[in-house]
Amino acid sequence: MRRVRYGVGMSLDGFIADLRDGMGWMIGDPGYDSKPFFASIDTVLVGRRSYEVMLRHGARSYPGLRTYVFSRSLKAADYPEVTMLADDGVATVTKLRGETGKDIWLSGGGELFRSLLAADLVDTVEVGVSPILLGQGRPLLPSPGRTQKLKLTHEQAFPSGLLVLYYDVVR
Amino acid sequence: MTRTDSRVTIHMAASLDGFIARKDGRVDWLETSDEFAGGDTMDPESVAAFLKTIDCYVMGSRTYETALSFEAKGFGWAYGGTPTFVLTRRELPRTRETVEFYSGDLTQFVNDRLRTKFRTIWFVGGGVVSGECLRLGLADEVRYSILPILIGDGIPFFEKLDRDVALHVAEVKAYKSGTVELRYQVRKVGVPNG
Repeated sequence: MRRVRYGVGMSLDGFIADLRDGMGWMIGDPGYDSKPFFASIDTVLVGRRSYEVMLRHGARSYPGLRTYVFSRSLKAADYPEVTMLADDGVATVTKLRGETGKDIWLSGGGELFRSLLAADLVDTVEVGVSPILLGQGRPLLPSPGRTQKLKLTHEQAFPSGLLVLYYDVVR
Repeated sequence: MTRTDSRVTIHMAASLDGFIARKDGRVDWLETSDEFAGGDTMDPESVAAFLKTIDCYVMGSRTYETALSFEAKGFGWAYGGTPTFVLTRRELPRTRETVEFYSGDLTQFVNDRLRTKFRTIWFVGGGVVSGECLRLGLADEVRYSILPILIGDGIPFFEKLDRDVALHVAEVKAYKSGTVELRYQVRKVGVPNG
């Protein structure tokens, strides 16, 4: 079974974007190598709001990855670069997990994570924590989310202050 | 006179999604059973030695009530014989001599009363009190323990934070319990007298 991995950047107080959907406050680190991650996936899942943020930045898909976008409002014909689906992701992701292939990246946002988590379709949570408190913004898991135990599998701290935490979702 | 070597620390434990308690104040999820093989263990002796370095605690009324309810359930009083200041406007039971109540200006209290007398000052919650402490630029460091759990809704780590606060990571430690403890220095850029 392919794993579904929720991989996002967040603030220390648990926000994956600020209230204007901005992420300019996130930091990276030259020591963090994203190649192994991108080599381990071939599919990416994107929620409607996250996709609109991508579009605003001029990105219509993730190059080299099968991109699935979940939206009831955007028209599939207008976005031929991606597979646009009008469901909440549960049926599609159930099917995708059963297919052979590399892992599936859930790139955001929180709403899509919440519906997939509620359906037991998320295997890992991998967060890059930036050393900042925002006080408000788009949450990692929007309320009301369920209580979900995690298992810490790996942590990496970088000189820039970036902290990457890897968790398995405990079933 | 403010002691120049006094240090205000905010200590909080939160879920990965940034909550310190459920909406109704329950912290039932704090006990996690995770096993992180690469982690450090916290032996009771070193914990006790560490706690001895704390000169006083500051907390909000709900945190105090939670501490009292833990004591009533037989888990003991978590703050030993260390002076404990409870910030509240309410009438609450004073259960021991080391507990004092205060309601007034927080900046004045920290700078004039605490910093003059104590070296290591710990704010232990909740979100309103700690958020206020940070917002007023009173904190020198934040110790933040991330528990391996998502709780989906609750009382946020810091309430009423009206600006971004940049932090400087000083230390990161992962424990066998799966808890990751972070120690941050607060960057006092643009804060008056900082």
